[in-house]
Amino acid sequence: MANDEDYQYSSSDDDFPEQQYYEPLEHRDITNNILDDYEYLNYDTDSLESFNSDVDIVDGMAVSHVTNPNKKRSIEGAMVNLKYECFTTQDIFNNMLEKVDRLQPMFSIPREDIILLLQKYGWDEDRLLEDWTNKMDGLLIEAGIHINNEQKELPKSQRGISNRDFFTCPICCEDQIKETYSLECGHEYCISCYRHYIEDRLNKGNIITCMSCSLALKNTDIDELMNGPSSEKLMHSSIKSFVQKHNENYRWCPFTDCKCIVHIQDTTEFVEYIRLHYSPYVLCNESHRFCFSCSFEMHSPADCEITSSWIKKAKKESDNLNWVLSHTKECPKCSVNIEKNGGCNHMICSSCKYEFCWICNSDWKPHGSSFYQCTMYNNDELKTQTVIEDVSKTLKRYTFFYRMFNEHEVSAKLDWQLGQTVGNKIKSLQEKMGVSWIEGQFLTESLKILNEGRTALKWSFAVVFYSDSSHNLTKIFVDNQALLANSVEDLSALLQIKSPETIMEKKVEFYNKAGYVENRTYALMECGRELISKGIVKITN
Amino acid sequence: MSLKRLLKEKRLIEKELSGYSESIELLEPVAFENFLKWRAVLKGPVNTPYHKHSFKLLIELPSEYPLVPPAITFEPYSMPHCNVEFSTGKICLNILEHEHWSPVWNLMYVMVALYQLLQEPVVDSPLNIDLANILRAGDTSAYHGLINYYLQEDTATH
Repeated sequence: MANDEDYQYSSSDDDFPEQQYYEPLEHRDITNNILDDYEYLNYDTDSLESFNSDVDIVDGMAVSHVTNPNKKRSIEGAMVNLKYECFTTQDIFNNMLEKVDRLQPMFSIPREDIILLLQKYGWDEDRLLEDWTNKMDGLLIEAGIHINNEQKELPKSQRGISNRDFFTCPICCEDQIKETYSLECGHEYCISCYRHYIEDRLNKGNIITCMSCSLALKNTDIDELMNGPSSEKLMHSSIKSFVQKHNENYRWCPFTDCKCIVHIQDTTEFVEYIRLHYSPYVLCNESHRFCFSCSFEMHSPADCEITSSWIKKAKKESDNLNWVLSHTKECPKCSVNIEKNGGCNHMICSSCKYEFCWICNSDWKPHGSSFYQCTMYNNDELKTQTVIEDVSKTLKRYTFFYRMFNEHEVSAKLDWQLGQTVGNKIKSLQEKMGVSWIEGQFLTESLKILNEGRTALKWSFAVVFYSDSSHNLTKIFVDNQALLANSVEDLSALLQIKSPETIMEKKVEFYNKAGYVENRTYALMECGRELISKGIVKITN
Repeated sequence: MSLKRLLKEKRLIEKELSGYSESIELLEPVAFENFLKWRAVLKGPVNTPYHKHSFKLLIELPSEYPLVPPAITFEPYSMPHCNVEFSTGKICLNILEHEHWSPVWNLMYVMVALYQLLQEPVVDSPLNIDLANILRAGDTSAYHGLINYYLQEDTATH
């Protein structure tokens, strides 16, 4: 138990000296080196080989102690540098069309036909080219571009819409049909049945063929039939299934209504990241950060495994717990029902002006001045309980952490709403104080940092839940958690300020607090990764 | 849903059913006022363990028929077949899937396809895994024996 000293260190939160909070651990130094390597990689991005050799050295533990205490650590530092691109379906479609243009001179068939071929081959150019050189004509029949000459007995007809007087459609069996459609194969159906048929298949992404044979409808045919640009829809669904099929390298942004697709060419490095408990976070063009590996929001300090079992557990238990966690609380003093309308946990009762902490329901005074302790789950309370109560203890323990997780999730949502008003604040700064737009950006920046801090804080409770609470590192982690919680609340309170004058006065404070939250977030993430690497986190259900 | 289409199918079935007396025993709407529910009876093909047995089918036509395929099941607990789930009677046949269905096909066509399925079970996409494994292993006598056992059980209890 040589950690009393560390405990002291971690509690002194004045100006965040880099390495204090878990000095005696060798692994920490290695971690730093790896981080340095990653940062180095950022400048010399195509040196995958050097990356591998670095890791080898790390594996061999033959690393000399190289750390740069002056280097600024940020949340970005807790992440690996990934090379990725962000697309929309339209971008991918345009790429596909470029592919078609490239292939056209080689194939010397119409572009529409090449699109059909590519669709058949799941947009895999290489496989198509290979088969094309082997069996040109056979391929054209297979893809339904050319009619199979062996079936010549059919009356040939013109491709397109024809006007008829008394046609009975074999599908709906209506007579006196005026407009029909058929391909060269001569299978003729009324235009309304054809439209229904196409409409039904547009979102499947496969080639649409004649209802009776394998002759394909080209995009131009579809548009002619549907009287509008419907083939676009087909192309988009074809691309969707392409993305689904290549889910090793492509991911949809998991955020609601976001249409971005992130593409990573080379995922071979992932094994290494996962071994070191880094999660591959990516940022889509709409600035949503998510984990490429589990398609969840940013979940550090938890790793993907903890995240998924936490989510599963939360789903399982939520029925029992939802009634516990209502959105209102009674004021501990006057029992008036209070709804939380801001992100900060520092509550002031509107009726009796009592100041209390939303999380622990006790007086706010000790929170503000001294060490913020409400994130700690007090195990001592339960020590006297008997074995029979063990089950309820586990549930109680889970309830506590789930509540904490939930509180921060709710807070994060409220912070987000706060963000909506930040834009207005900047506007009023511009109008009333003559502040330039760029100068007002510190508010946006602070909000972003606040959000990231909250997210990290939220997920840290999942980590603590699964950690061995008797281990020293867990204690250090919890301390770090408390420090972050404290700094997040401070920043959140700062962002509540409405008057433009006060905001400008406190500009320096904004910078300081935001910077501090950023450092704290990074520290918590790294500490969590260390915790997981050391095997102190055990996933149980 | 086109009533005309269904009437036409019904007329076609009445006209052609006699030509299929080897395979299709019955194919008709359950009630005359409701054309969305049909029933059918298939005869077990010669040279299969199903010979001399007949099998009831329940057919439900969705309102979008013929744009979407009919929903067809065997009577539950009556059909021991590689591609039929014994307890529910669900059938695994690609033309009955929405993606592979074409509005050009009709109930008669589907019946013929099902009859073919009785003749040639597809071991690669089984719903009755035991039967498929035995058949794939080439143990014909066990295969026949198991089906016979199921079918006798069936006749004994019903």
